[in-house]
Amino acid sequence: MISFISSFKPVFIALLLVAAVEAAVHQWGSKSDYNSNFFEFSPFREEKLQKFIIYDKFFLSGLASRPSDIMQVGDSSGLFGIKPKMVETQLHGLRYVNLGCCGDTGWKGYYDQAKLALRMNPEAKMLLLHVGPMLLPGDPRFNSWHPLNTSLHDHLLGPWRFFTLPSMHYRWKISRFIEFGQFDEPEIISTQFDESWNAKLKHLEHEDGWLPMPVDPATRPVEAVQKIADRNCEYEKSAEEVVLLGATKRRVLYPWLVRFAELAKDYNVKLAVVFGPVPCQREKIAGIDAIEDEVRRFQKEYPDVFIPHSMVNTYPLEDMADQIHLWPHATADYSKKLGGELSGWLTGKDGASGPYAPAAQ
Amino acid sequence: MAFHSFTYLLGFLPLVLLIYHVLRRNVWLTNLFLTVASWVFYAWFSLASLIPLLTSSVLDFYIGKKIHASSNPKTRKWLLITSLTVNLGILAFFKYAVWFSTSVIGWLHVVDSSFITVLTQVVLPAGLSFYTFQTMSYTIDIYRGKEVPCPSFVTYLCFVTLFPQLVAGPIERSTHLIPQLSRVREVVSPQMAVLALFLISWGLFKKIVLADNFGLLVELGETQARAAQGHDMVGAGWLFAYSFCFQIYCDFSAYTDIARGSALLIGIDLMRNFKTPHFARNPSDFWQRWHISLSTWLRDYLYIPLGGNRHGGWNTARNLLITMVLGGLWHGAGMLFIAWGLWHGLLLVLYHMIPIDKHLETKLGKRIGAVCSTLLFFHLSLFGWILFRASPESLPMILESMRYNMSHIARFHLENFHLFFVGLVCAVLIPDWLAYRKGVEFTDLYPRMPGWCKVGVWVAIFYAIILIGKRAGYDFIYFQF
Repeated sequence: MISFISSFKPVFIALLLVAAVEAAVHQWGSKSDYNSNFFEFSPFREEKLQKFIIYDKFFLSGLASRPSDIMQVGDSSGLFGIKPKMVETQLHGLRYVNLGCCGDTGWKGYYDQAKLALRMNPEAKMLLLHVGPMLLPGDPRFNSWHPLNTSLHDHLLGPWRFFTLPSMHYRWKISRFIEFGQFDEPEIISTQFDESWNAKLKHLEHEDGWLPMPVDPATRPVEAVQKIADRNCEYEKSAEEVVLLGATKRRVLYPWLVRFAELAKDYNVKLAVVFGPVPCQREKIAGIDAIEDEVRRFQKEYPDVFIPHSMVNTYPLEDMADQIHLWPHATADYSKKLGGELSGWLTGKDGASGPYAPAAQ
Repeated sequence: MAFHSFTYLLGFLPLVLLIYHVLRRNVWLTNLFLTVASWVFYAWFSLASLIPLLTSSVLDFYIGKKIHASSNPKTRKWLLITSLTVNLGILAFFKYAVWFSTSVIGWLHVVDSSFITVLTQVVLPAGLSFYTFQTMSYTIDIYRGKEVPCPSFVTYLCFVTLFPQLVAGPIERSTHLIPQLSRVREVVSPQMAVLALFLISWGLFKKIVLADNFGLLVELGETQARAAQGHDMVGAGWLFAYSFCFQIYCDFSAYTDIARGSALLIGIDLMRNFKTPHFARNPSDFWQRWHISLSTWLRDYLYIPLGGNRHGGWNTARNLLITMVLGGLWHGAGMLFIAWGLWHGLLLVLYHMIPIDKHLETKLGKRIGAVCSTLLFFHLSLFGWILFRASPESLPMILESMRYNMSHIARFHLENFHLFFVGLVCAVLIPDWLAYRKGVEFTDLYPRMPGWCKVGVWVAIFYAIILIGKRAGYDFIYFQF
């Protein structure tokens, strides 16, 4: 015992010192909103914008914890495409919140955000997964071990989220000091966008989670969108993940939809899967039948899940900024239309409808 | 599973230690448990990566037994060739398939592109090169009569898969590890436990605080060197080279420290893999301090069988070059890895012919000569690290930007960049200098430190990790090998 105490004495004294420092910082030190290991705050590398969006939506703005009836998760097709206030005009008093973020988080990220949302708002009635079908995260760029979804899982959802210390918020200040010689936290979160966009980013709650597409439409005429569509209207890359040390591939859409359906069951909420609009023409898309078969199979096994749109929900080029994102001017109509579809389904008027419902086959 | 993840440090390792101490008195059960735990550790991200691991393990266990049982030299030889062919075949397929398919086959246009596409999707299982060399040394030692087959299959599996050293070494020898696994190990003493804890913490500090931040500077240097073409932002190649030199050392030695610390907690003493390599004065000295388990492996199973230094100067030079080129190729497919190996081979030959460090010490006196030869060899090895890290596309730009000195980096307009860089370098070199003077590693100094110093080091490690440690950092570099 004496040997144990003498060996570990320096460790215990160090722990006591740390505890004293942390107590002092907690009592007298400065505070920051971004005190989480979720953030990197490395010098010479701008923090990922997606992290600010997720953190703001879930923790700073209070959007996730407020009593909403319908909670949307998924990629940026929904983040930039759905205006909750417009959806709500069709919902007869139900409240809608847009918690969607970004394809970079991958299927696992969408799933973890859905789980987090359902944990934070046990009163929710419906989970809505909104994805842009031309950029599904089966794409190798969005593979399931992406650092963003790993840190999302570890530091926002998993048990490690409790490992925070008062002094941790000095991390951002230190990295700013190394890089810019300043010790303050910046007003502007991302240098990629202008001030108005940054202001919106910091105050997502005013639009219940919606953000406008951060590209000036004047810089991207219809011809440019057409070129983007020609290049990106395909499913093949998005639908599969390489497995078994590269020996084979696995289709990922169906298994992930099943996981979402099971999650909704676990939390006793309804599930809607919404494929966002695209500028693509069905006949030009290779591999569409195979991937739609996965959705049909899913719908057959989970008839209670509402899938209002076909995977090729073609919108005019003028409304689209690229293969999955709407320009802001088109979001109001799209949101109202979606609100109407959800309302019809929730009130039971439309029953089990949608292009993949067994009745529609 | 990554050593620097919460899952490993606060979940997997404590659980393994707990169960290990319950089972400790039963060797067979302990080894079985450690083997299964190691499989879980290894298959955390990909279950399929167990396939080559198990193939290699099972094959060498049975071939080892057959070699030992056979008295016919021809049979023994064929068994050994079978083992080497399968092991090297697995290694070659996973390590070189992508390179071979994209470069060689691609150039020759001899196979249709769909075949090449399939090959490019091959995923290299982590640690393949490490455990393949480990099992190969076992079979070769039995063939040479230096080792007898391990009587227990479970103990043998534990030797190959033991989680602390499975993914990135040290490449253990059966003669060192199997005897430790074959007996009931004592309860870890408090002194050993605190040393193990220090090894793990020091490893985490080196990985999260030093290696990953140097990694940022490597990226910055490479980006700026590319941008320097036609502009005045030059000298970035130096930043790239110095940062990578320290990054790879901190990264790899951190892994070894955490591996040795974790193993110590289950009563296993893993071999040392580093010993202050930045203070080496010549290439031979360097290879006795850098990745020791690989360099001794190459010496024992390649250089000496080739003839070593036994047949005159030319043959020695040839053997050195072959050994180092193959050592470069062991790291991965690519001309630059081969160039890195060749560079070190040439340095070994050069110093063999002209002992520059000895000349410097004679001319300048022992102390100044030692400093000069250390600085000279450090910069010679620095060129090797550029070859090791650069891509064929970025290499010319990096070398071009190195025509200008590092003071030009001030033009990056990064306010306290110099402070940051110098701080990181000091955090690597000062502890290593203290250890070098005593002929040990920094972690070996811990028991000799006064109490207040120990407390200071613990607090410094803790706050360095909290305040400047990278969160979503890089994987350990040697995972890819």
